[in-house]
Amino acid sequence: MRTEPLTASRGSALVLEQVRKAFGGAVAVDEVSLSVAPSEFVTLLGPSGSGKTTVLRMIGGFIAPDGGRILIDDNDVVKVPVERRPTAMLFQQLSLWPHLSVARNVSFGLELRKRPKTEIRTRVAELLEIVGLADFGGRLPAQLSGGQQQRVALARALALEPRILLLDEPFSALDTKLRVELRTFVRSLQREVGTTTILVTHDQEEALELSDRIAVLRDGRIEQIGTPGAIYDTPETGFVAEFLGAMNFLAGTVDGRLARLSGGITVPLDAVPTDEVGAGRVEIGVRPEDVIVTPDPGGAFVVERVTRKGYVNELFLRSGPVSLRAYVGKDLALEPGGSCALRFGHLHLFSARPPGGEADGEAPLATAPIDALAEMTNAREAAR
Amino acid sequence: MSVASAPLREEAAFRPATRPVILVVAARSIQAVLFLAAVFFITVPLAWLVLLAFAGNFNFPSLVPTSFTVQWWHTVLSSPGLLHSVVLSVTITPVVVALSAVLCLPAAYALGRFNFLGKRVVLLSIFSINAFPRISLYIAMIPMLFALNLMGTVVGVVIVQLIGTILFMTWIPATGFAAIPDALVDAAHDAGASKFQVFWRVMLPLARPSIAVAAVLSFLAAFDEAQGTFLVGAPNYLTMPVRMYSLVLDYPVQFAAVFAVVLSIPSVVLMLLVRKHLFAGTGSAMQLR
Ligand SMILES: Nc1ncnc2c1ncn2[C@@H]1O[C@H](COP(=O)(O)OP(=O)(O)O)[C@@H](O)[C@H]1O
Ligand SMILES: [Mg+2]
Repeated sequence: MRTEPLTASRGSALVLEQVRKAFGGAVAVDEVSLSVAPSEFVTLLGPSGSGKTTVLRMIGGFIAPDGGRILIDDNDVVKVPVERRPTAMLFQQLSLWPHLSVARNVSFGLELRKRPKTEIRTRVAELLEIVGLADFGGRLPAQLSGGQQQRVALARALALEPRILLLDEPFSALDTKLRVELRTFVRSLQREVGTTTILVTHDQEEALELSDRIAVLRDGRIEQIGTPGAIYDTPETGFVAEFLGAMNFLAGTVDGRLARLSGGITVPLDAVPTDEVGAGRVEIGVRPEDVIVTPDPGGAFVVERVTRKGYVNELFLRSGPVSLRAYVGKDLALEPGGSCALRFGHLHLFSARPPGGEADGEAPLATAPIDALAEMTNAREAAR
Repeated sequence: MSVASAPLREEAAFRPATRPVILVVAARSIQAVLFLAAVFFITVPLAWLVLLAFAGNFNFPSLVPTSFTVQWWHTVLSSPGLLHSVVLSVTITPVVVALSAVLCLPAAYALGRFNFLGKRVVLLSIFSINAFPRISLYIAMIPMLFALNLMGTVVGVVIVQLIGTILFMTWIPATGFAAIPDALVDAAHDAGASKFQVFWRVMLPLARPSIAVAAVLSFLAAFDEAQGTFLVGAPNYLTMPVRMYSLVLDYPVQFAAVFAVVLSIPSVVLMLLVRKHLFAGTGSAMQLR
């Protein structure tokens, strides 16, 4: 787990300091620290049950943390009740008030703040215009589609002029096309308005597309935090590597400048700095798009299966006990049964983890991708 | 055709998967049959009552009256004390319902939205009010009402009628409150609403159909209440049902029919008044589509 230096807090829009929350005996959020710059878009990414919603609801004031501090604009807000926090939340479920018109839904918060009627009217019209629903003010929520309802909910949240906008998987109830449309819209809107935003999602694509930074959560802890590019290119743990994008893991043993996989396959580690290779058992991580496949009748690998993914084909390759996946161009002439040779564009080295993937204290060996091409050779064939 | 197809496709987004035509037709037919059955079972007994109320000569072999008269109406409407009963019933009942709402709805809200220690005990005690013969409850209450000097007073009558409304006014709105999605409540707090504002502006309107049902049932329960009202209110305060019970035995069946018709009027009027509230809104078990 990486925590950020706490000294970064001054001038931050939002700071979490070792925030903890347990339900009954079960720890949901474990010492989460995070500091978010003004206008930044930070995503909490993690599998279901990793504590994302709990973190978000603690920021919004719906759940009180057991420990730690939450600062908004350098003020501790832990004791500030929901209705007085400078945050606004967009919920996963459709949450418009069904008995109020679209316009009244948006104006609700402003009415509570006793703003002048004319001001409210212009503000609501403005917000509905922004979300592209200018003509829908008089309708009831039930007369809108799911995507339109979420846009109204967004207008309702923005009407509160929050310091922090909280989005809890707001696109997950929508179908794919709408989801992509709405998140693109949210991203450009957030850039324009500049509201500091925290998004919770389990969708890696969403996280990669929207975020300035991503915090990957696992079992209530931040496993890694960084820009989408940094997290994708240099995952610090196998968990992060698998959660963002796909990754093949090949178990092997380091032997000098080589990694020996079972079945007599070797992977040269020439490009890895000597002090990072270490010794003993390792996991070699290779993203499917970094596997370079060349059809070769004498190659060590055999194509078991080909799956069309639209823009690429996914090859399932095997050589003895070693199997991996590769993304290749659609015009690569390889059918199931064909042989091929492999090279790796990037390698990631992780310390070995037990089968099943549960690796506690699993630490990255090489934190940077290994750029030089590593040619896989089959030792038996080379000897022949 | 092409002009119409565009908005149609838009519409499809709001609808669940389309069902085969045959199922739709079957469902519609069953609906129609049920509707007709409901109309039949509601209107025929009422019509029969009205017929009886105007019956002059009505002897066994004949299935319908052989002559008609307004004599029974004349007798009932000119009987001394009737006007007093009508005024009494029509004023006391709304008071009872309003009081019941004020006392029970906060409890219903708590029961529907929160988990607290002893919640089951509260629910059980509310339920037990209706689980035993009501007369034993009234008899147990009479010494207390005597002690409080409430026997033979309007306040006493109100209290005794209130008891019969408690179950409806807590249980039904509690399910209505419980059915409101948490996100709607969270969103209201998020927008700056205090607990009371959330209750007033979100919960109450969304639970409205269930409250309307509870109010109708409470009204009818209080309006028809005769046992306790008689025990506590007699001889000063005889509401319509009490008077009917005391007179029915002394007169022919047509006399009771007239009374029954008169007693039905408030119910019918009430149903017509609240009709649109019963089936509107969301977040309620009573939502119909
Ligand atoms: N109100 C609650 N009561 C008990 N356990 C809860 C509650 N809310 C969340 N949890 C538990 O805390 C953990 C984290 O939940 P959550 O924050 O909802 O995860 P996520 O949003 O990442 O799916 C889960 O194991 C969940 O079961
Ligand atoms: Mg969640």
